[in-house]
Amino acid sequence: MAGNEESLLKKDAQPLKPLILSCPNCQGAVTLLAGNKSLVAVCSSCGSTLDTADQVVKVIDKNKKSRPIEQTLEIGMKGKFHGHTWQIIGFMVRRDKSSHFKWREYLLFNPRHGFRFLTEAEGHWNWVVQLHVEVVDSRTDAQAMGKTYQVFHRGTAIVDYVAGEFYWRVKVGDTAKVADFINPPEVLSKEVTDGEKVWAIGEYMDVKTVENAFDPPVSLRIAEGVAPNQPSLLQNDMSKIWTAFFLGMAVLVATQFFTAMTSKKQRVAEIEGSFTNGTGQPALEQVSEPFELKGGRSAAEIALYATVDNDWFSGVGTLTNVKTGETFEVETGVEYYWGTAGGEPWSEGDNRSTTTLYSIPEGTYRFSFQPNGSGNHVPKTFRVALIWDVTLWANFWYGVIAVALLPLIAGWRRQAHELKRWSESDYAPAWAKGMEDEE
Amino acid sequence: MNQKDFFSCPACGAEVRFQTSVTVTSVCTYCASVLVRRDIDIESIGKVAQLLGDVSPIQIGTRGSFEKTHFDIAGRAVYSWSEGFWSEWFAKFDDGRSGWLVEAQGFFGMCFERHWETKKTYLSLGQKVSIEGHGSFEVSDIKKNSCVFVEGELPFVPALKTPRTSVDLRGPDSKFATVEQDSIQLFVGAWVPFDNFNFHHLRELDGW
Repeated sequence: MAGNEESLLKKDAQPLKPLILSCPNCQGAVTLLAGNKSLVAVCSSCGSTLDTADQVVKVIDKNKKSRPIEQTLEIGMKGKFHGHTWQIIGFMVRRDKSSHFKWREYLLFNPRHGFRFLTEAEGHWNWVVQLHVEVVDSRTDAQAMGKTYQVFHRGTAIVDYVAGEFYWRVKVGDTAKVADFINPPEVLSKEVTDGEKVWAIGEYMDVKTVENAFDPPVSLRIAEGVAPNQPSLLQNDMSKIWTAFFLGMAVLVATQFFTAMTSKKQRVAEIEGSFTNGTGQPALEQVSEPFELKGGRSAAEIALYATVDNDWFSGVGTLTNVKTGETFEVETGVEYYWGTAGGEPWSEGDNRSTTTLYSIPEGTYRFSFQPNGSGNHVPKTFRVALIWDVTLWANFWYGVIAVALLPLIAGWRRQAHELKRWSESDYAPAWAKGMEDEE
Repeated sequence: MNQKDFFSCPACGAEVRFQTSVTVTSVCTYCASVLVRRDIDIESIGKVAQLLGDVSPIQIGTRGSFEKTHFDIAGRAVYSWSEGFWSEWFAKFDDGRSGWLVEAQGFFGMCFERHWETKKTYLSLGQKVSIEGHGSFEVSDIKKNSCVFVEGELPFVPALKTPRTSVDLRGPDSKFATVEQDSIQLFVGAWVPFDNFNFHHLRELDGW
């Protein structure tokens, strides 16, 4: 049995209060929200950066800089993130040495859960925590926690502005070698200062999440461009899009299969004849015997065959409803040309053709055909048949194109998004470099 | 199993207890004298000043669990180095083991003293060390530090304000190790998220 709990408890335990020190420069009050965990604090009255690690507070930088307008969260604010309350205790602005790109870092504190960072760049936010796990990094990537992160940026970061307090020694002008590796929505950051290596992992946080973490909610700027570790576009929707695509295709194929299987393709009428152009006599219109078209409204096909030899032939096919007199007329024809050019044979067209008559209602009909033209004066024989209840393919293909557009457009948008992401990096993979060269 | 030894503080006369068989140091809760048990008598080795700005949520009497075994916090040693402070809380486990709850830069970890075969005392930054049963570790930090504050009961006699050198090592997953160069000791443990300890009797914090 462990020792008696009551006797182990400190009898006069007081609730802890933040530590208040006196600024050696201006004697203003400096409140340390993280108590003896903070090593450095910036006096809010005179702007001096103070070393608060020892009993004796020292001034390490008197350089007071004006508050950057891009600071959107205040020291002292409390917000709820990942189920716990965090207080903003520090703020800094850092700049990349070569590109002068600036970003902002807010230090958050919770006495039980320690320290976290909220970083902001171009309106994009990351929730960052220092890592204690093993990271293996190379020139191109970093491996940690079973995941691979691609190198995105290497550079030197310079501190431009500090406010509040920090748990490490920092002042304006300090530099650190940094490297960022991405695996959206995460970013793995390495920071080397005086030989000491520190790793941190950041997770992309939506602007709305940051805004609503505070009470009352804050209003933050709209994000610009694509952040290095911003989640890929439509990441969560792709499985839905592909499901919709496959379902759509399945429905289309099944429907078409069923339609094809059940269409009767009945040859209901046939007309034969011959035609010669240039006889001066009008061609005879030939009419078939009456026939029944059953099974509701459907499509019919006129199949034409003619003995054209480097020639063309055309005529008008008419379907007449015996009872109502309603007619369906269509021009149909064939053309076939052939020869040799430079020893190579060629041909164009065919002596067979099919023409579709759409949406014919059931009923009793006659089919008639009137030849009306031909190229040369050679007599040609023709055979024309009317086929009832044929399978239509046009709608099926329109459907396939429409359904395929879903993943196609999504894929195109995702690709454009990825190109935008890598356009900000010197380490873009080969497939993303094309855009860079064009610019 | 536990000896309940009662003594009178030689400085102020208050009652001083040594609650476990392994503790040799107990800090008087009234006058903050650091008292060491020597056979049948206790001796004061100095006093400690109040720890200013302490925002730790842990206190003497906090109960938690690590790898399914419960422990009680019986004592604390605070160390100071060039980059601030850290605390090592003495954890007395229900199964009799002694562990150390490390609180550093807001992170918590639990470690235990381990037998060290290669008594290699002089390690350099970046050096790789293999610790049997735990894997390969890399030296991440070599810190000159000293004990500046103690409270509760401890299983050792603290060398107050005496410099010593601690070597920190980073291991696989979230493991860490510390080598105390002067006392030639090895501690191996892991960093654990605060919630995983399931703490009870935490210290109250104003405003939190």
